[in-house]
Amino acid sequence: MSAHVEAAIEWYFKGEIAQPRERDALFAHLGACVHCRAKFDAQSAANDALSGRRFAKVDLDAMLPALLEGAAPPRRRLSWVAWLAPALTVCAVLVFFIPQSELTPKGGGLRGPPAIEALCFDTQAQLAAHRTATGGCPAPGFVKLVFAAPETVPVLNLVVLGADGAVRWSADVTTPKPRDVIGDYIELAKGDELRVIAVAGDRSTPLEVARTMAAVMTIRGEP
Amino acid sequence: MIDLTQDRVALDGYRRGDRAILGRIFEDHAGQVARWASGGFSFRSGEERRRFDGFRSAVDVHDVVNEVFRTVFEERARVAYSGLTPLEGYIFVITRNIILRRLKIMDRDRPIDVDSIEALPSEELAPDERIAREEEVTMVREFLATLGEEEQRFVSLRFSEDRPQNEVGDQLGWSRKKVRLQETSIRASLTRFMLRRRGTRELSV
Repeated sequence: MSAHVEAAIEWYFKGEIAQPRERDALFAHLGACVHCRAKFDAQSAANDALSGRRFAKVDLDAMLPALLEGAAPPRRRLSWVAWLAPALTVCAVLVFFIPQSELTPKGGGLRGPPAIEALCFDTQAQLAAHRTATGGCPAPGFVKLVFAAPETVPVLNLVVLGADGAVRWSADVTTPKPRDVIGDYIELAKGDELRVIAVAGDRSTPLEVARTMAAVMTIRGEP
Repeated sequence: MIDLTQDRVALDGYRRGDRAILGRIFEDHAGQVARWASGGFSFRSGEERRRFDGFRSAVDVHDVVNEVFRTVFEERARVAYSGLTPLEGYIFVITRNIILRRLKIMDRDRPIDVDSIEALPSEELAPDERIAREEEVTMVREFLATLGEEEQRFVSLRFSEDRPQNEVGDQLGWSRKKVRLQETSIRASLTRFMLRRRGTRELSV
C-alpha cells in the first residue's frame, strides 16, 4: 500500500513539478492508484469546465516545465565554450584578485540572497565588463555569473528572467565555492534586460518559486 | 503559429533545441495532440481498418502528450525532421506510434502516412457527450454566478482567454503566488460544486 499524492497533483497543476524524474514518479503512481487517478481527472475536468474546452490550456501549462527541463538544450555543448576558456582564465584571475571586501555586499552574509556578480563578454569572448550590481553589459554578447558570497551554501538556485518575465536561463549549483564562475552562459542582445535571481538554501528551490523572488541584479544589453 | 517549412530561423532553432522555439512548438501543437489522444483517430493495421476511441482518463492523455513532446524534443527527432512537410504531420505520426505502442498494436511495417490526419475525428461531439457538456456548461455558469466580480474576471482571463499566470497577475494587480492560489482554490471549489449538484440531481431522480 502506498500513500496518496494529492499534494503532488496540486503542484503539478500549478506547474511546479519541473524535474522530469519527479514528473515520471508522479505518473507512475497515478498509473497504479485509482484514488489519485480520480483526483487528477477531477482537477483536469475542472480546468476543462472552466475553459469550456475539452483540453484546457491550463493543463498544457502544467506539463511544459518538466518537458523543457528534460529537453537538454544543447547550448552546453556549443563549441564556443571551448574557445572561451582563455578568456575565462583571464576573468577568473581578475575575479580572484579583487579584494573580497569590495565585492561582497556589506552585512549581506548568507541571511539574505547570496551575492552574485556578472562577467560580461563580447561576441569574441573577450571579457568586457565585471558587474557587482545592476548595470549594463555590451550587447550582443554573453553573461556569466559568479558566486560572490564569502562562504559556500548547500544549494544555489539561479534564475535569469527576461523583461517579459520569461525564464531565460536557470541552474541549480550544489555547494559552490566562493568566487566560483558558474559553468554556463546567458546570451545578451541589445535592449535585453536580464533579471538575476539567486536563492541559497539547504535544498533546491522549485523554479516556479524562485522566479517569483526579487532580483539581486539586473543586466541591460547596451550597444 | 510557427511554420517550420517557411521560417528557417525557427527551423534552425528547433534543430538546435532552442528552448524558446521548443516552448512555442509545444504551445502550437500540444492542444492538438491532446485532442488526438482523448478524441481518438482511425488507422490501418495490416489490411484491417481500426479505430482508437481515445483515452478516457486525463492521466493517460497527459502522459501521452508528455511522451510525444519528449520524443519531438529529442535530438534524434529534431535532426530527423526534414522541414519540408508541416510539423503537424510529423507530430501526428509520433503520436500515433506512441499510442499504438501503448495499445500493444504493432504497426511497424506500415509506411508513414501523413494523410492519416484526414481520418481524425471532427471537433463535433457525439450526442451523449453534447448533453453532458450542456449540463456541465449550465453548472459552470451557476458556479461562476457565486463568484465575486474579480474572481470572474480571473476565470475569464486565465481559463477562457488562456492568458499566462504572470499576465493575469499584471492585469488584476495580483502577485504570482495569489494567481496560483486562486487557480487552485477555484478549481477545488468548482469540483465540490459539481459533485454537490450531481449528487442532488441523482437523489431527486
